[in-house]
Amino acid sequence: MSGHKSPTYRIFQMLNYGFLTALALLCVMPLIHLFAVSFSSNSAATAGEVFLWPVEFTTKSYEFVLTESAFMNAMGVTLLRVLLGVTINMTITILVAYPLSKDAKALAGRTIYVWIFVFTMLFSGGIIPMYMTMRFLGLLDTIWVLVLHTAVPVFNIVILLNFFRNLPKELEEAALIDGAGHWRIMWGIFVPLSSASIATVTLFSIVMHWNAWFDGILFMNSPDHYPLQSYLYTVVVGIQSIINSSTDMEVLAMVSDRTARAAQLFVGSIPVLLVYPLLQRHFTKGIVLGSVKE
Amino acid sequence: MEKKKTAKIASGLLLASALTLGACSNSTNGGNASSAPSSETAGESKGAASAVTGPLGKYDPPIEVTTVRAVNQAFKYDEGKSIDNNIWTDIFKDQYGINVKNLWVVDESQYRQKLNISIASGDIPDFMMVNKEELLRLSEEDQLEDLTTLLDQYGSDYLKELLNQDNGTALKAATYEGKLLGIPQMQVNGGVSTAEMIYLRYDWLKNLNLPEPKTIDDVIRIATAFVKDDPDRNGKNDTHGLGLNKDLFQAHGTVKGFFNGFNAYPDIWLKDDAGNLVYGSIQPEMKTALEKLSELYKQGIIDREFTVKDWNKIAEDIAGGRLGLAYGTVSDGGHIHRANKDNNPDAEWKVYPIVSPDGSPVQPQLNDTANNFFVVKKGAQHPEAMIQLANIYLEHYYLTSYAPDPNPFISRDNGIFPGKYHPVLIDPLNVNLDAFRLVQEALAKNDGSQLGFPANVHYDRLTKYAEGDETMWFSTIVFGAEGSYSVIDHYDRNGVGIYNAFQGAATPTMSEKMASLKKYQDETFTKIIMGESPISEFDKFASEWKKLGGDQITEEVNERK
Amino acid sequence: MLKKWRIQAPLHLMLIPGLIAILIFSYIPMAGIVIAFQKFVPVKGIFGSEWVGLQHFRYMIQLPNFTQILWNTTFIASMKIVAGIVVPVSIALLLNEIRKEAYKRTIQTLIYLPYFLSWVILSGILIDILSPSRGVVNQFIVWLGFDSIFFLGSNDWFPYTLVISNEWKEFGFSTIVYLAALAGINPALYEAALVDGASRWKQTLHISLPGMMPIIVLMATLSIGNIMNAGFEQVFNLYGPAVYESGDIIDTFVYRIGLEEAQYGLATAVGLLKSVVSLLLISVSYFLAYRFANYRIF
Repeated sequence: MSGHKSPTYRIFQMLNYGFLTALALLCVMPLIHLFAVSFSSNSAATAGEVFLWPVEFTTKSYEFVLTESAFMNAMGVTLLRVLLGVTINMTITILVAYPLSKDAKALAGRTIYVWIFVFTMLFSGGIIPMYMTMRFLGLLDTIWVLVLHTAVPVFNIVILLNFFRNLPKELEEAALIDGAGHWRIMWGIFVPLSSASIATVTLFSIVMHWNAWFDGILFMNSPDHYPLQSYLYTVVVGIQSIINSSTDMEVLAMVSDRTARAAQLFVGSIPVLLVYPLLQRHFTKGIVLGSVKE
Repeated sequence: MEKKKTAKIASGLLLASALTLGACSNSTNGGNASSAPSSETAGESKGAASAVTGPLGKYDPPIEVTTVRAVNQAFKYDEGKSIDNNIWTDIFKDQYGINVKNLWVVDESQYRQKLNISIASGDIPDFMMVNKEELLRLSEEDQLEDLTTLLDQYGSDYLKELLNQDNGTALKAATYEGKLLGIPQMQVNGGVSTAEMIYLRYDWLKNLNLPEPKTIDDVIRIATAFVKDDPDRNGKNDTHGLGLNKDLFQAHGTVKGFFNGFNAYPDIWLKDDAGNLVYGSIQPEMKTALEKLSELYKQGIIDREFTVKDWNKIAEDIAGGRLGLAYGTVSDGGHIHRANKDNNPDAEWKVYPIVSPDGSPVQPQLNDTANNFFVVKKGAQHPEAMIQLANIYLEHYYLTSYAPDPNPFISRDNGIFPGKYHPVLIDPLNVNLDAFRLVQEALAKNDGSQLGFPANVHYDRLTKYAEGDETMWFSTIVFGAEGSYSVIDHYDRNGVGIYNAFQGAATPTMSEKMASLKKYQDETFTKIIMGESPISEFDKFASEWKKLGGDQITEEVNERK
Repeated sequence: MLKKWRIQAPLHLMLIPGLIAILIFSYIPMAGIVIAFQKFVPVKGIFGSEWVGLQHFRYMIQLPNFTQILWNTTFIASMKIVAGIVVPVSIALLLNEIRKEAYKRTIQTLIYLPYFLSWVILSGILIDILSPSRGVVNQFIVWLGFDSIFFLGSNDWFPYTLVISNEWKEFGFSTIVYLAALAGINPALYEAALVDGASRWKQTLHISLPGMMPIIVLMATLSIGNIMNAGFEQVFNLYGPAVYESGDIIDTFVYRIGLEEAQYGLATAVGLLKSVVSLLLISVSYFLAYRFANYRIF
C-alpha cells in the first residue's frame, strides 16, 4: 500500500480527519441542543438560555414522556408500520428491480415497464382521489392504508435496478447456461451479492415510513391511531396553530412547554438513529468480490 | 420543570347570575321536556320514532347523530375515557337519549383539510363545525338545514341570550338570504377581550424613574430608555426597546395596538363617514404609524433583527430579560411573562391600555366574535339535536350548581378538562371578563365564599398569591386588580372597540387577489419600517393596492354588506 | 421463441404485484388531476365541480409577482440540486479514505442525524446561531475582522443561507447511497492500480469516481425533477416579509393563497405544472444519455 505513505497523502489524511470531525460536530449540534433543552427547566428553555448544555437540570420531562400513553401508543403504531411497510416495500422493490435491470432483449417491453413506474413518481392525483380510493377499499383507519399507498417505492426500485445492472453479467449468463431460472438467479445470486445496495434501499424505506406524518393524520380517524410522526407533528406544529388561533389560556399554558416537546422529539428519534449503525456493516467493501470468487 | 399547574382559567359564569336565567336552570335531567308524539315535531323528520318539542327534552327511544371532531394536544383523558366515551357522552345518552357518534376525530391543525376531503368524498355528518367559506359553499349547494325556526323552538333561553351578546353580529354572518344556516361558535375571550394592550416591565420603569405610558410619546420615551439607559442595571447594552415580531399584526409583539393608537386599523374593513366600507390598511392614518415605527427602527429602538423573529423568539427575549415592552393580548401574561417571572423573581410586569398621541382614549381593533359555525346537514333526521346539545352544554357547564362538589367539567391539575370534550362548544363571549369583575368585588369584600365557577378558581389563586405563593403569579397578571382583564374591563366600561365591518365570507376577487395584496402590503410595511423604502412608498402602495384588485374587492364588499 | 418466452415469463410475473399496486394506488387516483381544470368545490365533488379549463394556470402566470416567485424557486432549487450532488459525493470520497472503520462509522452516523429533525426545530436553532448580534457564526465573522452578516434577514444572503443550511440537514443522508456505490466497486481494480503505482488521488479519479458514475448520473437525473421544488418546509419556517423578494417560492405563495380558503384546484394545477416540467427534464436527460452514451439511466 505504498500510495498511503507519501507525505502529501499523510497531510491530506490529517486534514481529512480534522475536517470530517468538524463536520460531524456541526451535524450533531442540533441533536445535542434538543437533548440539553429536554433536560432543562421550562423557564430557562423558554428564555432561549439553553444551547448545548442543560440549564437547571431536571428529568421531569422524561418522566412525562415515559408516562405519556399517547406517545408510547404512537411509537407502537410506527414500529408496526415500519415492520409491515418495509417488508412490503422490499418485496416489491426486489421483485420489480430485478426484471427491470435486464436489457430490452431479455425482457420484452422493458422500456415501457420502466416508464410506467417512473411516471407515478412524477404525477399524482393529490389527496382527494387517494382518500376516496382508500375509502372505497375500506382501508381508512387501518394500518394497511399507511403501508399500501406507499407499497411501490419507485425511487428505491430505480436505485436498486442500477445496482443490479452493475453486477457482473457473467454470473447470470453462467447460471442460465446451468439451467437456473430467474427466480433462482435473483435469490441465489443477485440478492446476496447486493447487500450494500439492498441495505441502502431498506434504510430509505425504513426512513420513509418513519418520517411520514401527513398520511397518518389524513387517513386515520382518531388520534389514538396516529403513528409517531403524526403525533409529534401535532405536538410541534399543531401547537403553532393552537397558539395562533386560540385565545384560550388554558390551552396556551398547556402547550407552551418546550422541554416536554424536546424530550418527545429526542426519544422519538432514537430508534431510527439506531437503525443506520446496525445496517452499516453491510456497507463494508469486498463483499461483492468475496462472493464472486466463491 | 414544574408539574403543570397550568392556568386553569376555564370559561364559566357565576352561578348567582345563572339562577336568574329562568326555567331550565335547575333541570339537570331534562325535567321540563317530554317525549311528545311525533306529530308535533318541527317538520320533515318523517318516520322519526322519537321527538321532543322544546329545549332539553329526552329522546325515547334514543336517537343517534353523527359529527366530526377537531382535538388538540391539550385534550387529556382519564384512564379509560376518550373523545368517544366520556362524561358528556354518558350525559347525552342517559339523560337525553342522544348518542353522538364521531365519524372521525383529527388534530385541529388538519381539521379543515380532513373536513373538505371528507365532504368531497360524500361523507357529510349530521352536524359539524365549519368556517365562513365552507358555510358559504355549503349553503350555495343547498346542503344545509335552515335553523331559523329550530333555534327559536329548541334553543334554550340562555343559548339565545349568549348568541346575541355581540348584538347579533355573528348570527348575521351566518345568515344567507334570510335563513340562519349556522350557529356561531362564540369565542371564549372573544369580543372586547381580543383588544390589544401594552405589556411593560415595571421594575425597569422604576429603575429609570419614568412615568407610566399615557401617550404614544410616553411609549416611545420608555422604549428609547429601555434601549439606551440600561434598564436592568447590569451594565450591559443588551436590551431592546419595543418588541415587534416579523408578522407585524398578530400574536405577542404585534403592532396592531400601536397602529390603533393612530386610528389606523390594518387588515380589516371600516365604515367611512358616508357609510361605505373601506380597507383599513390603505388609509392615510397608517402612514403616520409606519413613519413612527421607521424612526424607532432607525434609532435602534426596535430590534434590528425583528424581521426574522416570530412571536416565539419575542417570548424568548421577554423570558430572557432582554425585552420589557411589547403589545399583546389578554392571555399573553399567563404563559409568556410567566417564564420571565420564573427566571427572575424580581421582574415586575404591568399592563396598560393602548395609547394615542394626545392621550385621548383609543378604539382598539377587535377580532370577529365567531370564526366557526355549527351547521346541520340538509335532511338530517334530527336537525334540532345539535341545538339540544348546545343547550346541554350550557345547562350542565354553566347553569348547574354542583356545590359543595367541584364542577366536574372544569380543568384539573393533571390537565384533564372534560368540558372541552363537548361537540358543540358555545361559550358566553365575556365569561372571563365577568369572572374578573366578580373576583374583584369578592376581593374587596374579602369573601369569596359566594363565588361560583370559574371565579372561585381565580379567587383561590389570587388569595394564595397574596399570601406569598409566587407560583400563582400568572393568575395575578391576568385576573389581578391590575391584571390584563383590568384593561379589558377599562375598554368595556368605556364602550370602545372596533369590529371588522365586513363579516361575510371571502368575495370572489378577495379569494383570487387577497394573497397577492397581503404579500405586497406586508413587504411594503416591513421595508418602510426597516428604512429600505421611504415613507412615500406608502402612497404608491395605497394606489397600487386599488389598481391590483383592491377596488374591485371594495366594490364587492360594499355590495354584500 | 417458446423457449425464450419460458425464460422471460418469470420476469413478467415478478412485475405483476408491483403493477397491480401502482394501478390501484397511483393510476386510479391520478384521475384526480382533473381537479386542476375545475373550480373544485368539495361539496360538489370531482364529478360535479365546474370546469374552468386553464383558468388556474392563467391565474398563476398573471400573478403580479409570478416571474419573481418562479425565479426564486428555480434559482434556489437548482443550487440545491447542484449542492445535493457535489457535497455528498465529495464527502463519500473523503470518508472512503478513512481507514479506521470505527471512526468512519461514527462519522457516518453523526452526519446522518440532522436529517431526522424537522425544520420547525432546526429553524429555531438556525435563527439563534445566525443572529447578527448574538449568534456564534457572526461572532466568529466579527472576530475575523469582518462586518456581521444578517444571513436570514437580507435578500442578498437569504437564498444561499437556504442552500447551505439545507445541505447541512441533508448531506449525511444523501451520502449513504454513494457509500453503497463505493462498496460495490471491485477491490481488484484498486489492487491492480496499486501494482501500477497509482497514487490515492489517481485511484479516486480513475476508479472510485467512474465506479460511482452510474449512481451519480441517476441521482442527478432524478433530482433534476425537483427544479420546481425549493423546499416548502424550510422556507416556510425561515422566511418573512423582509425576504419575500428573494425567498418567496411557488409553494409558500400557494400556501398563503390557500389560507383564505381551501383552493384545491389551484394547488392541483401547481402540482401538475411541476410534474410536467419534471417529466420533460427527466425525459430529456434520459433520451440524451441513451442517444449519446447509449446508456439507459433507468
